[in-house]
Amino acid sequence: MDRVITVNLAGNAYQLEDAAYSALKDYLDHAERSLSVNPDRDEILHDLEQAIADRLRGYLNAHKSVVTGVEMTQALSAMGPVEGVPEAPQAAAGAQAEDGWGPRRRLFRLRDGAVFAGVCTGLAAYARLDVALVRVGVVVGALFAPWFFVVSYIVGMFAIPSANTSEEWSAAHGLPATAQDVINAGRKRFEELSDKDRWPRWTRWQQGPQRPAQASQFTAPLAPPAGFFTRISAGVFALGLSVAGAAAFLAFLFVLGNLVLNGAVFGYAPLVDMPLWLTLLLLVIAFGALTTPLQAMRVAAYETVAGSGRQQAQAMDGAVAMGLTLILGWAAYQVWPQARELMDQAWQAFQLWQSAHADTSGWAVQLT
Amino acid sequence: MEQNDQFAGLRKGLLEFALLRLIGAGKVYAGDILARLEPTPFATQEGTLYPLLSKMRREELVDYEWQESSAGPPRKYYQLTDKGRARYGAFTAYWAALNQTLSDLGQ
Repeated sequence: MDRVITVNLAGNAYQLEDAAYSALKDYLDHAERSLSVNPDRDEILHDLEQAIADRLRGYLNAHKSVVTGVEMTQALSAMGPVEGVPEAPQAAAGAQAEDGWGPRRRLFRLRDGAVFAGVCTGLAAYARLDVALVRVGVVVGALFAPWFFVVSYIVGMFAIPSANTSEEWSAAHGLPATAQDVINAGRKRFEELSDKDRWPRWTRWQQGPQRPAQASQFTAPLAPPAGFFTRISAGVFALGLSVAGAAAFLAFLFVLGNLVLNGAVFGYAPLVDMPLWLTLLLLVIAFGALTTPLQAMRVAAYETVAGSGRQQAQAMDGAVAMGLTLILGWAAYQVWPQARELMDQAWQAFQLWQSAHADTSGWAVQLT
Repeated sequence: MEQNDQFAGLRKGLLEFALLRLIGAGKVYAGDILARLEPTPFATQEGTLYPLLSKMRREELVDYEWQESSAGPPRKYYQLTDKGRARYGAFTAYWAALNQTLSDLGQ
């Protein structure tokens, strides 16, 4: 036995099951909100009620006087979601947000966080890169072609306009500038979300009237928790990245060790007249530039896997990286003669250094 | 399906002109319009059609009058206004020019 609710649709009484009633109420509430700025709102709502009533009549006959939840669902999905004012501003904003993110970005110099004139900060915002990465790139480039980079930077200082207003700042980052832009971007995202949720949503309230009244479909979750499949694939992705990171770190140690102990890697010596410290500095910079984006990707992947905050993800990433480094290092020692040779060499060098300092420094003695 | 998504914006923009043409051919009510559009690429639903018709009426492109119906309550029958006819003429000319441009671009 189910409770029945009687409603008045465009001048006629209809008897609805509880589920049908709440579906209809959600639909009409949403329609009312979509049309809130429409001067003909009441008239359109009346016409919609009339059309719904026409559809419901098709489900009723002399022997059936109550509309069920399923029938209401069918009627309402045949009506389609009520569109907000389909007028010029929204269409224009839709076209603008076409790339799925926001208005077009433009290149500006950004004074916040700038070292000199903000060329690097501006480029970083434009390319959506970390500013440190851009700076390292510029510095490394300047080591090889100093004049080119110095002249380019000076040209950039004068040629690229500085972002002085908040609108320009927003354009530099490709962020929505006005409240209307923010609303449009939010609405677009909201539509995507509610589209995605449509089917689970319908079935949810088909389960019965126990559904909480305000679990309405139109409160879109801001950050939906990742699904099972997403988390599994993020886990595989993260593990792959961790292996790559650990391998890169070991390769770095291998190159570093060989350079320090033998002055060459695989028989290849760096430029003869380059001092060792500069070679090592370049190596460290190159390693950093290579692994920083890798690490950011890894942390993001671990965040998805654990469904937790950045700090836990970083801790997780660190623990996995350490374990993998040990395992990979041990494996390299077992199967790769060159790695084994280098490690033995390093161990000998350490012992030599230790015995040389054993008398003078106390802490080395404590270690043994 | 892919084609559907690709040209959704185009159809949405042209829907208003499809309506001008349909209503220009003779008085119709919303149910007629939906039924006529159903088999075409412009197939639409009440949720889209009603707000659009109301906007066109506000812009004085269409007008309606109530007529008794044999089945159910009275219906709104829509027809074009002079302004609506002028808009349709302007659209047809512009559409022809666009088509011409598109085919000229290929040469």
